[in-house]
Amino acid sequence: MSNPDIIQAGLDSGWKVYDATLPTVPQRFEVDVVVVGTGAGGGTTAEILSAAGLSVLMIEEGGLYHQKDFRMDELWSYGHLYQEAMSRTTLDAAISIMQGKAVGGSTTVNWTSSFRTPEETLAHWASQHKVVGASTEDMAPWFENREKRLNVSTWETTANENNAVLKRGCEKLGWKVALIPRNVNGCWNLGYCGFGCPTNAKQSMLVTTVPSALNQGAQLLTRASVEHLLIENDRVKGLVCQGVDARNQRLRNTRIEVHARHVVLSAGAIGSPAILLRSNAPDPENLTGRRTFLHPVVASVAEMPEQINPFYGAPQSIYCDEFVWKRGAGGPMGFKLEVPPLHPALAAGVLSLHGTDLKETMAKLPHINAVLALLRDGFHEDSPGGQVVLKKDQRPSLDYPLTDYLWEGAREALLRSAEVQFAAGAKNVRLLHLDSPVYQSWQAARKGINELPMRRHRTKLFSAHVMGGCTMGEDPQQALVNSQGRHHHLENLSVIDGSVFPTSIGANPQLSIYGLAAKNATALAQMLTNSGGRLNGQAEDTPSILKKAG
Amino acid sequence: MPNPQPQSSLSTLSRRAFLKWSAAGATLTASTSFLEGCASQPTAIRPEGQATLPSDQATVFEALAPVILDRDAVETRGISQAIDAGIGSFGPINEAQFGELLGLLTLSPTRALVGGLWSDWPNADKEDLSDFLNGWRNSSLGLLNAGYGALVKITASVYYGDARHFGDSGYPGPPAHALQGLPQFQKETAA
Repeated sequence: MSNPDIIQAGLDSGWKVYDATLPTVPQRFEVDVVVVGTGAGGGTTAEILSAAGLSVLMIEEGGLYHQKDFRMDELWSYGHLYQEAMSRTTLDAAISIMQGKAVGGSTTVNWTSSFRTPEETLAHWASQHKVVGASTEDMAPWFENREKRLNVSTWETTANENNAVLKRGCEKLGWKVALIPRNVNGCWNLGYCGFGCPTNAKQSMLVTTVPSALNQGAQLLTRASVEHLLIENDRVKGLVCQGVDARNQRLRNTRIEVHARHVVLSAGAIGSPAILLRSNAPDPENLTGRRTFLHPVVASVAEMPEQINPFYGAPQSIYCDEFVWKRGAGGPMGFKLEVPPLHPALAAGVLSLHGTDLKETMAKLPHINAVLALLRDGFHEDSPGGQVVLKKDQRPSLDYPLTDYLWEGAREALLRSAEVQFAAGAKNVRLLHLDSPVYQSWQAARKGINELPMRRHRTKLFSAHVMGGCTMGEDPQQALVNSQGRHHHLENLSVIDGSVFPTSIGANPQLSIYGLAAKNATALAQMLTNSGGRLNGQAEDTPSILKKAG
Repeated sequence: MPNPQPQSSLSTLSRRAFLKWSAAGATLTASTSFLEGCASQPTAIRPEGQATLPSDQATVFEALAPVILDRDAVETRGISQAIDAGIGSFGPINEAQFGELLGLLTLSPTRALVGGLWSDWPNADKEDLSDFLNGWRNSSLGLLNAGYGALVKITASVYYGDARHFGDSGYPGPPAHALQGLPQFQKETAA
């Protein structure tokens, strides 16, 4: 049996859910807090604020899809559950960006990998970005709290063959390899996490915090794009949003005004800066949208002698951290090795082949393994990250520079990907790179990869993790929000999502967002529920949410 | 470079057109998405059921698909409609940029200039189309590489993502026990 569809049950019970493209949508809302976005940051925040008795409105740009819609259909999912229907890229088209757009945000379509923020990352933030109160020690109870809430545990089920390739190769080479913690409950081990979990097992925001917030009386407005904030002096009165057509993504001529005591932006690392840019929000240092990071991904595909069916089974269960911090946080760009699932449309799309080459490679899909390297950006001065910019229709894009420092990391990452695949017994390996031949041995690959040009549009780059753009830190010259996510120049505006990260994470970011969001939303709830609570209200030593969970 | 004369040489193609084209390539690079006419209200901009691309642009995909996929034209017939629906779900900017790229490829002077194709798409032979694809793939111009990636990606994804072609990639489809055991696949509970 699959888990019950609590979305359908909630809708039947009378949840206050509105579709901004329907004529019945209210034209005006007045709430204590409006939370823009329902992903890892917004979902977490909405649950905590509504539990504190605050009236909350969640706004989501995408639609409310749930079990009835999740039919393990790849193309349907890309068209309905992803930003720009999977066509999002950086401004120069060099990096394809996979980002969720639906209630639950990217947590509805992610592959469930749940890592705590690495110690190196938190230490770097403290020393280089003046982030306070977010050391490994400070964060531990928040991660523990979220791990309990979302049922995060190490995936002990035997890894699927696709992940087993990475495990086998790493063991052979003596590289660090470990099991991935996943946020699932009663997982069927099917392999369709990226298309919306068909069994309700994935503990995404869609089936956890968002329903919980709605049960606590919160409201949800879907298919609404926040056009701009209503700013008066150093305060935000609310915001204005418009309906977004489900089919062609065009804005409707609706105008919905939301008034709130406090505004929380949780629209993700492209969306949150974009709202601030559209609003001409105060920003004396010109920081909005800067330092946006992607964990640029490079990958190689191997033909394995055995059938591995890369489309079935928990998509990510094994990781290799041998190279993430090997030469220090500020050294060459480190990378984490993982495996992506390969369904036919995705595989056909990323191969960048045509003719007989495409046909013959695709015919071998059941034997194909891909290893990806997720490069940690933002820890070095030659990795400044991108800048969110607004296009002529005011929609955002990301101008992301490709530096020599990045290319060096990418080459090293491709070398290690190929090496681990050959060590695991690959018959041959080819890089996702227009100049890559099919390498028949590790020796040939090593020589070849060292000579390959690393160039825009020839080396295929991807991203599934957008971070930064509203950098946190205590120094307003360097950061847009403080360590609690409070905007340095707008009294009642918080940013609670992955956009506050001053660098990339160095691991799949969802648990990093959950932990920081739980911490900062809890502090915000305390501030807002204390009568006359002021801006810099300090959290009590042990917030009640942690006492309860502990 | 004012008053570009596209007929004369590649270098005289307006810089602006190239920049716009680059953006279009961007769109295409990632395109793996396709709505299959999802139920929605008509909009002022494009009534439901109406194609996103003009018909002459759709012929680009009808001509290229058999070469990209190495299949007989009969196997790929109609693929441009699925691609069209996909492009129509990208959002206005990406959709428009896609249109600009295809516009370049359908206007005969620019098609000849940047694509090396002298006959129009329906009349181009396989060898010419293959040369066109290889030319863009192997070009030292990043923009052409991006354009190649875009055309190939959307075509390959639409084809292999279609359940009728799962067999071509050895993908058996979702596991039978899931189809049998999950409520959304049972007639009485399906929405």
